[in-house]
Amino acid sequence: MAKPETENNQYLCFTCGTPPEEIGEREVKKSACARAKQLLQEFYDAKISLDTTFPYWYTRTWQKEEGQHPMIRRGLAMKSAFSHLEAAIRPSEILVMSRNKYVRGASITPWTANEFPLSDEERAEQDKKIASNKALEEITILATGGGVVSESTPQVLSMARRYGLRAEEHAALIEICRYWKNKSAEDTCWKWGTMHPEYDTLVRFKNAVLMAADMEYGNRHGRSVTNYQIVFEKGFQGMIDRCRELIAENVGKGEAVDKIAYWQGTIYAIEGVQAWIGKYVAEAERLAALETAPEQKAVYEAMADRLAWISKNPPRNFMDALQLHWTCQLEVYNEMQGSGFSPGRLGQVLYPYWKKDIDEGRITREQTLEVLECMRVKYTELEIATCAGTTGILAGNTFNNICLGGVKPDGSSAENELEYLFVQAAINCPTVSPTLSVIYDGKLSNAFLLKCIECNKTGCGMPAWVSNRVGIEYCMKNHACEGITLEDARAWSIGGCLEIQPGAVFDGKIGAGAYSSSGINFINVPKVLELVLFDGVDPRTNVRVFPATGKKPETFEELLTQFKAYFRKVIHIFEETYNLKVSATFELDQPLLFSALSADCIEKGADIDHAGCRYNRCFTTWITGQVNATNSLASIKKNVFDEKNFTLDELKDALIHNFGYVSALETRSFSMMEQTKAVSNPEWERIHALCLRAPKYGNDDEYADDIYIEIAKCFRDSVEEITDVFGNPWCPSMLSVGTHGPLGQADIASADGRLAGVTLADGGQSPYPGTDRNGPYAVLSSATVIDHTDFKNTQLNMKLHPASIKGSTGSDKMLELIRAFMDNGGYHIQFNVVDSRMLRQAQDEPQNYRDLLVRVAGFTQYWCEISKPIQDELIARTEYEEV
Amino acid sequence: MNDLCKDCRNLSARDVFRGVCTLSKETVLIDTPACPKFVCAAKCKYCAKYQPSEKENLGVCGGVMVYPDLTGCEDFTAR
Repeated sequence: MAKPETENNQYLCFTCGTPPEEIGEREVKKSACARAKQLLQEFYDAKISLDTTFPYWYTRTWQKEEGQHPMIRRGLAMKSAFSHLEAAIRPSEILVMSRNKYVRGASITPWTANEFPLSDEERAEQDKKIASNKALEEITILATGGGVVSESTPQVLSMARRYGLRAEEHAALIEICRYWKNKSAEDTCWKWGTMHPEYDTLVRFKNAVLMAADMEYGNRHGRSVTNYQIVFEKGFQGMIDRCRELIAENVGKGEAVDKIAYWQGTIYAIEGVQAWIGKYVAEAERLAALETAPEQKAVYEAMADRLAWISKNPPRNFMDALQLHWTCQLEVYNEMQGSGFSPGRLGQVLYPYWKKDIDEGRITREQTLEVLECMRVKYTELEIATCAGTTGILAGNTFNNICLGGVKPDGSSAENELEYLFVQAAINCPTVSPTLSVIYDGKLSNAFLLKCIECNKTGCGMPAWVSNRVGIEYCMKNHACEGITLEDARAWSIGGCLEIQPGAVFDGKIGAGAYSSSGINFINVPKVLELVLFDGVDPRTNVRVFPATGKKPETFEELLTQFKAYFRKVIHIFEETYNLKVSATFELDQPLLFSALSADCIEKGADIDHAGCRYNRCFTTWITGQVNATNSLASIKKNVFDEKNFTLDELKDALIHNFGYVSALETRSFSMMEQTKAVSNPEWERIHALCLRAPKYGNDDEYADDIYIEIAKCFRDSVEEITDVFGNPWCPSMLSVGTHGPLGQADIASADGRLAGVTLADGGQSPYPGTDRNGPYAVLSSATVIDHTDFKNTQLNMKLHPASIKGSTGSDKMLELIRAFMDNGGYHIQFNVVDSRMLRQAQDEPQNYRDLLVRVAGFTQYWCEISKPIQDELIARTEYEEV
Repeated sequence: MNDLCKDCRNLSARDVFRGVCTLSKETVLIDTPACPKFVCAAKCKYCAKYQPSEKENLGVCGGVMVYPDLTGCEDFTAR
């Protein structure tokens, strides 16, 4: 292949300042405790593994209970599935229980999504009928390192290019998935979607990869916050007893049939969880009996006692509460196809238990740190099983977000000593999960904020920083239609990576009770502009998506108007059909356990899918690539209409020919740093240079930033014009997760100078790599041109060289930067603290960088488990040598 | 039947390739032939009620589909 020619890269600058000669190490490097180190090694050694036990027993009982009320049937199936899970305990664990017997174990939930384990031949028939993810999956490039099982062996099959499944279980899994044909959420929701008079438009949109993936079955629930206050107050048995009381009180009311079914289904589901915990009690007792080392024996005995207690009762102490919270997290992940069931403000929820234990001498700070470090590894072990397309979006993460700081319901600072230990545990034992976010508020102490900066300096990418003012204002605005109180708004937390979720206060204590943030998973904004330029035809596939207009825009305003019209249409079709499709799922996989935990489902007698939550205005539409679209429109405005440097037709010709470069899909180089020229064409080169030089977002330049505002407003207004299944307006949201990789692969070259197949801009507000040339504060200025309180989240990533924030002066500078952003109305900022040259080395020698962590977009991930398109984009992100 | 580590009651699985023997505390490849201390796990293939079907890796028990490596059944009766 020809050596990359990058003469046009004089217009891109991937560093701001001069890096030191030597590759910079991260300043802060601590060491985990022995137990956590052992658990971490087991994690590194483990491959991601599927177990068939849960789906088998669920399906078997579901079949047996045909004819039952759907809630009862669901509850009985869940009881069977949970009570048949195997317990596995490892010697290094203190906090115990996993999704199944494997370290990095997951299970397919075929009642929600059953197609992806089937062969391509079996799926082809369905793919033809529905708006499937096939087009996305075909272009999605996945990671192959770390725990990923990307290739089959005679004993182990690779499923969805990520998970290992024992060959001897394959036949059973296929039979199970075949049973769910035409019954699963995936197979039925599209039928409901055909009620929409423009269903065929949806199919065309999906085939053009105008959206990343359907959430209604692939990742249906999550981006929510788990509530622990009810189970902490009542215990599992108390929750069962309350359901029984409510049944007795309502059995004489004919209108309460569904409520009674819900309560009874909930009882069955919780009984299943109790049986599952009982398996672990038995296993801990068995291991205690076998163990000869007194210290380890005592650990197993304490474990058995704790598990036996929490299977029925409210927690007695911090360790009980921690174990109970963890059991609740696992039960929620096992019952649902979803990600991002965040622990919320866990440090504040656990604090009363911990403070009592510390004061009464039942636990020490060192013991607390040890168990919190172990907890970090347990969270990192969490896996979910999804199709390849959804895996590409999620980049292998499960988005468990712990929020620190913020304020209490009464408005006073919520920081506490336990939260310092949460941060210290992340410093000592940096892992992917749980991710941490600081709810920044002026009431937080400088000491606490600098502790968080210390954690940032480890390079683990956390905590992210989010604005308390924006969070509270957003809640008050967005949930005004639901009568939100200021107390509940102050108790807000993050669901998933960044979604603002209102809190639910219980007797002054912070809890949660909002529906999942679910919906339209990432509209491909640059693709919308492609369709405008090519009069409704997708230039990648040459397939017509919109009817031809036959008109060519004569002015920029005409072009922008057409862009907005297409954008609005795309949003509306996706939201309208989603409403229909998701409704099909509400009688199939009701989240009984998550609902039981949440405010106010048990008292209302309704699960979250039937508006049982306190707050339900959560259906969300996300977009990716809006910065590329902004930059492209700015380039067109300047070059075509203002300065008349070239015509639209000349631009389109250059775009179709990728400005004379080889596509990234062929070179497998997915950033603008290294691209390969295919043919020398002076006219394309001229146009490319002009495109690269055009004004770019991220430079505090109104020319581009004003267009960003236009796109954001059009997005917000269009999203909110449609109401969701609960009758509330949809919510707009701006972040990328991992979608900027696959969606970039679906896009041809763009007028901002980006080449075909190259990864799009990350986040929702990050400048395109190499185009932010005026320093970090200019980026912040661009990022605060919109009103962040209009969006369920926004996302800004920044890469800092370790030397730029060295020492206490460096920490102060970093805090100053964050304060400036928050004070100017920004919602979120997160940091990669890394030398880009280290990332290049890690790409060339992954075996030497197994534990290297980087911040992608709202989440941290191991470098070796990130796909190449995202790796390339991370390397290319502008690195700031000075702050 | 050729018993493997994966079929032993004393195996604590780690993933689809490896586990730890709770007796020796060593990490093992689960497809390794079992040692003399093998104790069969409560899997359907070791149950008196299990009947293999004509399809590979599927069986029947009481008219219900099962599979040889299925565990957790309360009615397991060793042959």
